[in-house]
Amino acid sequence: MRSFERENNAAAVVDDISLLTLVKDGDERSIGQLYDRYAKIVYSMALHALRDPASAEDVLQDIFLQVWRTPERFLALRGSLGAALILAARDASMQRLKRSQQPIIPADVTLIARADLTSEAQQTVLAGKARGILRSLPAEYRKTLEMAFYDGIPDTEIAEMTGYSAAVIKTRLRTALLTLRKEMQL
Amino acid sequence: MSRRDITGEDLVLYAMHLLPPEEQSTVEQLLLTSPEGRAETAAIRGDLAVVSLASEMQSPPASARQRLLKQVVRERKTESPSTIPAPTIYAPAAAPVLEDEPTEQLRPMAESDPPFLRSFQAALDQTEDHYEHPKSLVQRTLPWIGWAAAIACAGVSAWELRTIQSLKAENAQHIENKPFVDKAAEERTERAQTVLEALTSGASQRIILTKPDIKPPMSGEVTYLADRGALVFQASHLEPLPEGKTYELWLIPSGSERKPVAVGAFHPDSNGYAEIILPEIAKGIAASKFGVTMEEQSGSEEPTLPILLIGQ
Repeated sequence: MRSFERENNAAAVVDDISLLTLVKDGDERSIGQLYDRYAKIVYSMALHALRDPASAEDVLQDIFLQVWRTPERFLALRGSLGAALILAARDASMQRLKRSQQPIIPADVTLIARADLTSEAQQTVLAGKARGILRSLPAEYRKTLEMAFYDGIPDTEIAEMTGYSAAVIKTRLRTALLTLRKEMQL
Repeated sequence: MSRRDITGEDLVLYAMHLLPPEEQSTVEQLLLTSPEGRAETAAIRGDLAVVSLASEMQSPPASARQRLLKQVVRERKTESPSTIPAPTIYAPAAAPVLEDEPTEQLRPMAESDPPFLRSFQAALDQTEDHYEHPKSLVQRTLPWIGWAAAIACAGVSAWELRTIQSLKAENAQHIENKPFVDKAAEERTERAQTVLEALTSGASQRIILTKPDIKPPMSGEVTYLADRGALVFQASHLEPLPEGKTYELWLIPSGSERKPVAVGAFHPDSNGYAEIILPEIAKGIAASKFGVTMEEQSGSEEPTLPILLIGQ
């Protein structure tokens, strides 16, 4: 279960788990290290969704305080800790937008092969590639994905707003993500 | 939406929490029993994280880090984790799809339960016993406070006052030591948790080892979590060993030129039952097979044929 980034970077596996274990033991420097590693991607997610730096900073605080208070929850996750924190920030942002009452902390997150979020350099490389792929998608697919992901708008509402059927919206979302996954693996 | 109607498109909406509550619940129920569904949902979450990366990256203000660390210092973990308030908005207990399998109601241990389960329960019981100790300290302390009050009222001598002060100092010392944690109990708990994890993880390999020409057949079951190097082996109906011999469990790693790894030697009890729990195995060894051989008591570097039980 405790296998963050295991598919990609064996050294990083040790690092994230070790830091969380130290946090569990009350080590304050380790929460600082996890913050340094993931604060930027967590904050950027919240800022893009909320479009308000103060609110995004509050989300950032909430996420890392939760890591500090309940590190065992994160130790129990399967997959990428960085990706899980991004999704936690997304859900916390949706709650602030009153778009969701769902709890966060995804159970498991499988990043595409070779993806590694444990260093800023890797994050930058992945971000650049993902940006290029999303830009290559048809505009309506990209817009649909942004409305659903960043604004938390359900398919039925997007359908009403755009004039397409909910089935079309769902298909666009799925297709956009599958295209992203496939292209990222190349 | 019925369980049969759930599609990949629905899993995308589920991962983004965009389904109506009743449909969200239907998908959750499906995922409890669908490893493929859980894997695809995890992959979708990974895709969504990548979508987030594609947005413009911005660093938080430097003051945010200071703010966090100040709060961390305020919440310094000097108290028992159970006294730290749980976060309110991110109730992890309700997090969807956290379990690999449906949770079963626990029941008391019975005589018919395998020895492994009984010893596991015993370890937990001992741990619980340990945590009752701090209460008795308070109970011991209280009577002295009563005595101290009575003596003070009667106008005690300087010697008696010194005695009281000495007792107070002793009590204070006890209270300072209150966070003391029995390391052995911690280790037992951690070991029990690791065993539980190995047995319940969806990533564990479960291999049945059998030899069909003996009645009742010798059999063994390995539960192995390669990432953790965690293994639990249970065998039953084992034949008694000749003098000077032992059974040995071997892990045959994936790959053509890798040597078998000795997992551990074991002896069956009078009922032919044996177990190996959490032997020392390096983490990350992918197993292609497991086998049991009979070896000299002194041990062997390689499996000695014939292989008595094998499974993959």
